[in-house]
Amino acid sequence: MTATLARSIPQEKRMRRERRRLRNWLIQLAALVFCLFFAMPFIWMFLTSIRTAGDLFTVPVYLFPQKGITLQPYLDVMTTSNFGRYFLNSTYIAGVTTIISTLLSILAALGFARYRMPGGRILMMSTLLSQLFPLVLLVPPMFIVMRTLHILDTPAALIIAYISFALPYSIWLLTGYLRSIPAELEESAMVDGATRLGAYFRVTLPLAVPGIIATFIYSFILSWDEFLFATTFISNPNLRTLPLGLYSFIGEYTVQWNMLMAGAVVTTLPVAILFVFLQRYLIAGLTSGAIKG
Amino acid sequence: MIKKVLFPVSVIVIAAMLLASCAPAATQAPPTSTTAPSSPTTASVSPTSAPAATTAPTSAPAATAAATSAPAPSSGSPVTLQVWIYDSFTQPGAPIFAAVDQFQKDNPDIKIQLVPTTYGSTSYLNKYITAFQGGSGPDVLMSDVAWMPELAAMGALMQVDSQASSDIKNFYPGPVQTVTYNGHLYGLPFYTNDVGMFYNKTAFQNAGLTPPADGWTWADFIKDAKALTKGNMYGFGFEGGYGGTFEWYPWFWQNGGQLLNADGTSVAFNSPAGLEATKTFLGLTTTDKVVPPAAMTWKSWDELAAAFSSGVIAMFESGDYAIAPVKKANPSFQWGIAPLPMNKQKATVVGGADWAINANSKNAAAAYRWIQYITGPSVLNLMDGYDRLAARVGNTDQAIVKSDPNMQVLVSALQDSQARPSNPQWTNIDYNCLEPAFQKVLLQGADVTTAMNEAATCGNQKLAKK
Amino acid sequence: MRHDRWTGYLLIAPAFLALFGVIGYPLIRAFLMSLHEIILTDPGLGQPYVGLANYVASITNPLFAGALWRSAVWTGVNLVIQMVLGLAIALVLNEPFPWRGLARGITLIPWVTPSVVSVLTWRWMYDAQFGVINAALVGLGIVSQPVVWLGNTQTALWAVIGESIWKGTPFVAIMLLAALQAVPNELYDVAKVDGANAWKRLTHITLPLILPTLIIAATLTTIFTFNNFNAIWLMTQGGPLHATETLTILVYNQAFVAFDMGQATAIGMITFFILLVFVAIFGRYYIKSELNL
Repeated sequence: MTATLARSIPQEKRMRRERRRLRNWLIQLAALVFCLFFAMPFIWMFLTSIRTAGDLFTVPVYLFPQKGITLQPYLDVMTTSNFGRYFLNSTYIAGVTTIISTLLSILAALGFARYRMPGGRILMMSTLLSQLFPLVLLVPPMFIVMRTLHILDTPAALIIAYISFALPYSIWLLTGYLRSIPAELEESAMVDGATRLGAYFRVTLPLAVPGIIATFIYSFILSWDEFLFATTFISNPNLRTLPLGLYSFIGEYTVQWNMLMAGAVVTTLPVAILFVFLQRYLIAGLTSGAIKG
Repeated sequence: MIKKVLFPVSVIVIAAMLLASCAPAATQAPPTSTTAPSSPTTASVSPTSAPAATTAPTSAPAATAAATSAPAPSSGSPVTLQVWIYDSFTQPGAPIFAAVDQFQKDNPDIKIQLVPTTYGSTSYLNKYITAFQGGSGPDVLMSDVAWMPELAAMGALMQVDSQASSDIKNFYPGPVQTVTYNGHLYGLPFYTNDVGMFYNKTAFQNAGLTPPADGWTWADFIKDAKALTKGNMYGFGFEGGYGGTFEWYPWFWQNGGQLLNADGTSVAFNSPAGLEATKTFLGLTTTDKVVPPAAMTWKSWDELAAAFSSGVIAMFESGDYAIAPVKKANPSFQWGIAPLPMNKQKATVVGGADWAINANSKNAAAAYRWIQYITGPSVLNLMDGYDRLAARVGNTDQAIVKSDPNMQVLVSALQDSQARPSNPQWTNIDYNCLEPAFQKVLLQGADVTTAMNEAATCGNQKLAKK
Repeated sequence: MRHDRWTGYLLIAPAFLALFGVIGYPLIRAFLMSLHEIILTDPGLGQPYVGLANYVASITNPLFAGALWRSAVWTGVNLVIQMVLGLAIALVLNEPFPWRGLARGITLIPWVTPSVVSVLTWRWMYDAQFGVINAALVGLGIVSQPVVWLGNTQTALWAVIGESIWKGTPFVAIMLLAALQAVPNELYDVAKVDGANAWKRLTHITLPLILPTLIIAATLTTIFTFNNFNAIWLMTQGGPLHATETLTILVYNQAFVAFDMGQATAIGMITFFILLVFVAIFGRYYIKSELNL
């Protein structure tokens, strides 16, 4: 009796270990499939960008270049495109947008998270509602308003618009995050002689850094990617953002797919790498924002 | 308490204002530095100069640009003209860059900033209209002859009667017509063209067919196209993304059709002759099946040139503007141009481009000097570089006309060419009535007569609005 | 919660000024525009007041019903697939395995890729003659002839949906992953002791706990997808033959292709009310979860 029991425990342990190992393999396999799905377009992008012109239009299609690889498309992109300027324009517009909208949403989030105001619910609701718009509806009136203000075809037009697009989600995210930080921490800092403002700056905001980073990333990506307002408000080629510049580049080199894909690689890679490293902050920032305790 | 919060708020507001006020400064720097960074859009430096150009896109700090441009000898600050031009004209090493350099040398008070813009109704025409309505847009634009009436009627182009009165004598009457609206001049003609049939010589040889020649008929064409449709190759291709309306015009006229009635008050393209031509043309895809399904997404001559030179299609209808793309796509490829096949009569469609000035432009005088120069005597040379025919008198002496038999075919077919109506609603009818009708037939198997009658109703509505 | 309401108002004021200026005011302008006939290309016409004529014209416009239906299909299919796929990815990426950080990074890349780049790459993959997707399908014997994905009224919408799922799923996955990380591990340990299998743990512990985030993610995805302009317009401009023209694209095409601002804003307002009804039903939880704290 005791003997069988003694035998079965290690056996069960071994089985459990086996099962865990199998499960581990299955999870990694699933992760691999998902990664392939997301990476496949980039693989094809890269494999096209190193092809020679004569290797693009082949029937049948080969996954790997058949006539050797070349870096010529990259050189062509460097010499014929204006991506440097577009990069600067986009960084400038996305940067200013992100800084201002993050600051505004920190203030608003402090207001919502720390103060009880009559009408506060309705105000919060209208913030949320403003996110539920068909943004395209705002294009015609904004076009006319900005024409009247003479700021069409300036970066200001885009910055003003993007700040407001980024605000609702940023306020929501940060309000949730700040609510998860106990207000008692501020109280105790104030007991130690800090002003309320000092308490916000010294205690609350440092704790909210992951949330602020997540807001930052969200606003940045939003303005980095925006095309609709940019294409409607900007016609001066010196002010083109990256999406606009890429779009005109595409029109210019319609079928030179190796060059187009080289352009795609060059313009995507820096930001993609940056955000792959930043992903942990994004997830951390979203965690408290998404689940409020 | 309020005071304590007011402080950070005001700090942020001030910071925001500072940032916003930086905006114009930071972004106005690049335009003034047009001379410094070399890139195709600034044209002042040929983009072929690779090593220099690679450093440019970073467009280093505006400060260096300012520093280098400051000591430059100049009488006052030069006017910068923004010039919209089809992007097919600004490929690396294109002749336009040398022309811009020459112009800037002759006119040190003017800087030309070429803005390559993709040809197309949404990417070029609508983009210009939007910019113009927003009070901005380029100073000068190159425009398809087909867009001129609409733009002139809208007030989007500057009237140039007084400046152009003597220059206009240097152009042929057909092209002059395209810059004339309601008896006034709105620009100067740049180049002109008609279309012929591009054909793959090797494919004709392999199929045992005699190459097409002047006087061949619809029946000959269809017979050849069917014989060429084999394996991966199809006999014919067109810009299916637009329903093929452009390629359809010659067929329509070859059958004796009229697009509008005599006084331009109603459409006439659903006449029996028109319907017959339309059935034949669209039937190439739907019943004869000599057009590849992939053609339904093609929207540019580059795509057709790529399909033609890689053996996907054996023939397509196009003008001199497709010569350079075909040559570039595959230099060793054996091909030729024949006149279009005929039916009741010969016909081809005339096209081309003009130069015009934005009615919003604050630099009208400089702008006119540019269009005068770019359509002036040197245009004949310039157009040789693009394998195209200038609209200017003397174009038959162009080197390319003398040396290229394909070009000769196109030039001699000009006598059979017809123009699209110069009604300001016509492009609208083409894009929004005819194109959908054709696509219904091509993509959904709609009946040609029904579709064309619908297009006629649609067209008459547009004409009635005016 | 403090009761110093004026400080609260002061804190949220800047954000609200921005939101009102860029969203509220243009919205009012849009409504007024929808009551006038405004043809941008015909300034001589003036802007006569036409009452509800634009609304009547919009609803009777044969393109409207089609666009409404396509908006529903487009949003519905995107929502279901993005949510299911996003949840699966989040569950996998929440498990520990050696290269989890890398996998999370790769998953995020589509989100940080500019729409212009991803649409361009997918257009090249969908190419009828030389595209890798057709090559794979023909190679595997799934289809006998290459499919003209974007040139066929039957397939175009599905092709665009494919790209949009690829681009949109990562954000859902990251939001859900953040929520999963907030689920305490002890709950699973207790459940394991009680003999609950993996499926039971998912349906009885995980899903109920992340339900708030699921609903918020679903609401956001619906809004983002419904309003998505880039994915469709950059790929097909609503064609061929309106086969991919959703309400968003229709508004844009009316405004900046037909230049009929009156009808564009009228369709936009109708679209806004459709979204509002949706929010009143489906998004109630979203708003409630924001306000109840």
